[in-house]
Amino acid sequence: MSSLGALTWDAGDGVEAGSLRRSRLRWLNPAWLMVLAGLALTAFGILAIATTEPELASRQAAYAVVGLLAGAIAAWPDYRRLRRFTPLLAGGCLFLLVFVLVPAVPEWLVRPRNGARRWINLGFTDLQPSELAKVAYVLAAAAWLRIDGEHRRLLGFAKPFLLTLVPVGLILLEPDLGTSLLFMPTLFALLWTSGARKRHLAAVVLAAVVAVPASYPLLKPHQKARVDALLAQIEGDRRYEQDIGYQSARAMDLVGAGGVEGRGEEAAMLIRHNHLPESHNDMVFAVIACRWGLWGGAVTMGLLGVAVIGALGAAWVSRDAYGRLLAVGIATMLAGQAVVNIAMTIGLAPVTGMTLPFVSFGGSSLVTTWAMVGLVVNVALRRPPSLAPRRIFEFPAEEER
Amino acid sequence: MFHRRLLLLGAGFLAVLVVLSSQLVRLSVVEGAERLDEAMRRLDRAEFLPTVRGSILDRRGRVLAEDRAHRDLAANFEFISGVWAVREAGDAARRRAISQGGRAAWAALDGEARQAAILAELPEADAEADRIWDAIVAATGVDRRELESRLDAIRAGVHRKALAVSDRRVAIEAERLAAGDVDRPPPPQGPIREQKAFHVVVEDLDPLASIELERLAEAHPEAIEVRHAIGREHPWAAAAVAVDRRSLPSPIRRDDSIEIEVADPLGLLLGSVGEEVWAEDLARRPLRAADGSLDLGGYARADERIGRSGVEAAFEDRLRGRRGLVRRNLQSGEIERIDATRGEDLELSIDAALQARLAAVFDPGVGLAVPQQWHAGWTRGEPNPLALPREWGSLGGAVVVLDVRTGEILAAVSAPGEAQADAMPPWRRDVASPLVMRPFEGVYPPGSILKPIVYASAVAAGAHPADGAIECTGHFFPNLENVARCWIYRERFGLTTHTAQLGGPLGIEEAIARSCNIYFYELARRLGPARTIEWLRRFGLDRRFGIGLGWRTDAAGDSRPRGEHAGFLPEPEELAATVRGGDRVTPVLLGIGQGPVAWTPLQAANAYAILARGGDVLEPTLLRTRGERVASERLEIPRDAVLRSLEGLRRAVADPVGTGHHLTLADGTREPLLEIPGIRVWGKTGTAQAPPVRIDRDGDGTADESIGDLEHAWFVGLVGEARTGEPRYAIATILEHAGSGGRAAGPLAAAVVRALVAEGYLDATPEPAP
Repeated sequence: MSSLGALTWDAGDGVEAGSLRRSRLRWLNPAWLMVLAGLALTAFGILAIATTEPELASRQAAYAVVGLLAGAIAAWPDYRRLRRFTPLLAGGCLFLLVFVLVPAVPEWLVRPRNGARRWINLGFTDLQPSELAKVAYVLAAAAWLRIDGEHRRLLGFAKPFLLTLVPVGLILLEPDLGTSLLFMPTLFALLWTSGARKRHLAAVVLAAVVAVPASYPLLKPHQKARVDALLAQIEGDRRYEQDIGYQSARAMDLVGAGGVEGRGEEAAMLIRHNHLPESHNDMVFAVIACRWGLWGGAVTMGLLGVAVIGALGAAWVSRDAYGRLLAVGIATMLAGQAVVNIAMTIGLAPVTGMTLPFVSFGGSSLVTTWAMVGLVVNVALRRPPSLAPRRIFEFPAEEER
Repeated sequence: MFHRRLLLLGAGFLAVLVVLSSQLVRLSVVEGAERLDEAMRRLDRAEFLPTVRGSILDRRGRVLAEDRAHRDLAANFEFISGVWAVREAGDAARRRAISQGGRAAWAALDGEARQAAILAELPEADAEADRIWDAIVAATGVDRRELESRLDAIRAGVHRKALAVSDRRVAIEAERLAAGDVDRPPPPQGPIREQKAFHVVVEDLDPLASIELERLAEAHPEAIEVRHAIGREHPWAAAAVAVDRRSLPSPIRRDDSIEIEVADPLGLLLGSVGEEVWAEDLARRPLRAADGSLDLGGYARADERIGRSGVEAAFEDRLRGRRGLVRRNLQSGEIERIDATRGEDLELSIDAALQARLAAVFDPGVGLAVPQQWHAGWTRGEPNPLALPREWGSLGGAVVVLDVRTGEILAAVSAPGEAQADAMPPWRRDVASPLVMRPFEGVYPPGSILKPIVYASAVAAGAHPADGAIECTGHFFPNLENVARCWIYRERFGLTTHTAQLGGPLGIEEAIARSCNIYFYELARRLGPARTIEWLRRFGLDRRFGIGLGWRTDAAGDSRPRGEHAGFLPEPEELAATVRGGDRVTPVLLGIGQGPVAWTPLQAANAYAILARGGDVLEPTLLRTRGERVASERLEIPRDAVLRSLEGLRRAVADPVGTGHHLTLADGTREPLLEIPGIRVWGKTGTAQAPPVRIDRDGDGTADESIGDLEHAWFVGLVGEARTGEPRYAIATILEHAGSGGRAAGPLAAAVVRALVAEGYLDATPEPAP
């Protein structure tokens, strides 16, 4: 145990300049699956956005170029070097998350939209710190958990949950319920793959199962109404369609209207006159399903699946604890986002502001997503140094009680 | 361990994808067609075509209300409020700057300089606005001050509405922020619809003005417009009626006829058409139902035309019509067209000319419906005090005329009318109730006019033989001299009785003619409370006939019921309970139409019509029936009883001892009330206790004078031609607070009968020699 736990922030598993030099790049790796799927999805997204908002499509193409650039930059330096900057990045992110909430910040800098303080005006574009926080969080959590064994004790297991509450709480205050919901599943996946004890994990699952229905009375009236509307909608009850369930009812109609083959060009008119809000943004999956039908939807979901599998594959081939967790965290973060977005579009989840990775319109979202892809490629590219053939996250079975 | 868990993680993700895919398949394959229909339906663009409201005609085909297209001048609220002038000044300032120094010159000006430039142009823009208003005044002939006050009203109305909307928006936003619901869009901001809209300034332009103003509107399209509109025309809103004064009671008799201008004799009956649809209307009949289906006769916008009162409201669904629809699919370009259907024309049973004639009878200029000395009478040549002061002016009252054969309502007049009430001093107007449609809505105790109905009931129920005679003992209860007395058993008549006058018991003919109370107390006793109430209900008391003027609320918030009233009768159990409680008087009071009973003039006329038909019940109707109607029910009243009660009614008018026979004047001379050659009248007088009238002369909200001991005067009866001897029309008249039925309501009833003759409903050819 002690030898395994000897790793520290400062001298991480022999990350010295020398050892980094020794690692050679492994060009053939599963991360490219993610890149290919991401490119296809990004292109698909631009086409989908062009369906209803042609001018925004060209802007999205420009964002895509920036995103690819961000991805390349994220893939360039050995990710283990990046770890040194994790505290800085995490600190910076926390600062920005607090910054948007400070009432004294002038409106030209942080302009509340519909009462939400999520964006910092940079002049040429808006920066959404919560997007940045997703990357920073995965980096930080991976760095924290790579220290073997700590999280197999109750205290070590509980600590990351407590720390996660900090960004989650700040993002909830903006408020941005959707984004904040992504962090806990990501942490759970990280703990799961890093070998946390099953009984600890089971306790978390149990707590969540109990806490979710129990928290219903604590919800605000409009949130309760949304949950009620969702449950009614799943049961085929259409009575909420004109008010609270409007957006999702329209999205479901358009997904259904696409049928198997899709409505093709006429989808644009259908979508426009069905008044689907956020058609280029959160509801872009409805546009895809309407225009390209069940096939379009299936291909999109398939490509998202390939992208996530690619990231998990990168974790699979990595022999480095930090790299593995980085890839797993990014995979979970993107998977969670994709699942929630599609689920709310097809009426299986309440509508919250959440973009579909690669596809939805938006600079912050696209650049962040591609930066994450870059990190996964980064992990997959770096062969583990042959000097450290340690077994990572492999714990004796008898401890699994 | 890591790789196994990684595999499980991946598998979990794929499992979630499978769930999502199955929902995707459900939406696009299973529900696909249905959802496509739903989405395609939203591509339909519907444009509605206006309909024309049906006309209302009287029984002789005269138009009482009809839609007519006309042209109105409307002004944009910005023009009315002065914003227009500022905008014009801004345009002018910009044009001037550009003409002097090019576009760059204007762009170079800062805010203050621009404002100064605009202010410099403002007087000219204001002058231009004034010129437009001048042109409007010149073209339409509207008084400038009148126009200004209309504009003020529009400004005030829009301002009020804007304030209310603004308050509402603030409240919504506060609630939204308090709830923290940031995903819900905030309420809209900026001007309300009315602040951007055109408002009608001058209605019904004549053709010449319309052409001139159209030219003006072309030059200033953002200021004014001439628009097509549909209005409700009422050709009978004003009518001139000649009243022959040669047949009036001698104190007001003149050897001429005077022309009376009757203001809107049908106004209250026809009711009004409003331009605002309320939430209740939308709930009752929406254009688009919750399930998406379309009812082209339903309501949608908030400014649609809708019948608000009277016949217009009662027959709204028939008059309204159905709008047309042009539906265009944006994708296919397919056009579906449904033409508008005009509303149904409604033929009323009312005769407009008769109605106008009867309304004229109530005009104070005629003198029948104002306090007169003969209402109170004289004692030994000295005038008795009047119940109400002379400055009271027009008395309230009502007339209903029913066709006995068909149950059609030929006329229904309520007094005072709105125009009359407007001319009254405030203290009098306060208690005038000009908006109560008294023939259907006014509820009064029947008094003696109920007596023939009680008799017919008692005989039909087997409680009394048709030829039964009863002694008038002066007071009904042997040991109680002061309750349940006959009207004749009074000090001023020397405490006499009808038996004493006649020298024996009374038959029904004498009892009705002389209006003996004891006879009918006894009938009520023999019937008992339960059967009395049951039979009065059969004669139409205590229920509404559904003539259409239903029970409606006046406006949102004001729940005062309007329309046909059911009157009042107690439940038999309630009355039985008072008997058990030791009250012997109340049940027998019903026999003379007092105590817990009240009815409307329409119910009174209807009960007499049933009697005239020998028991056939025909619901009164406001709609023309064309031809015979089938009785809804037949009351088994022995023919003998019907004939005897008719004989009693005839004697009440024709026999010098009858209560409706004559008017006694100051010098003691007697003047026959209803002696009209060729005409036979069967009538009954009634005097019914009225609640005290409270007068608030100084307008401080508290009554400073209360006049008690008041009585309403009834005269109800049947009228027909002498040559046939058949009762043709049932008439109910009431004059509020006028005192004795015969003296006050009798002359009014005589005027009604003469009006029926004048309008050709009765042929007054003298009776052929027997």
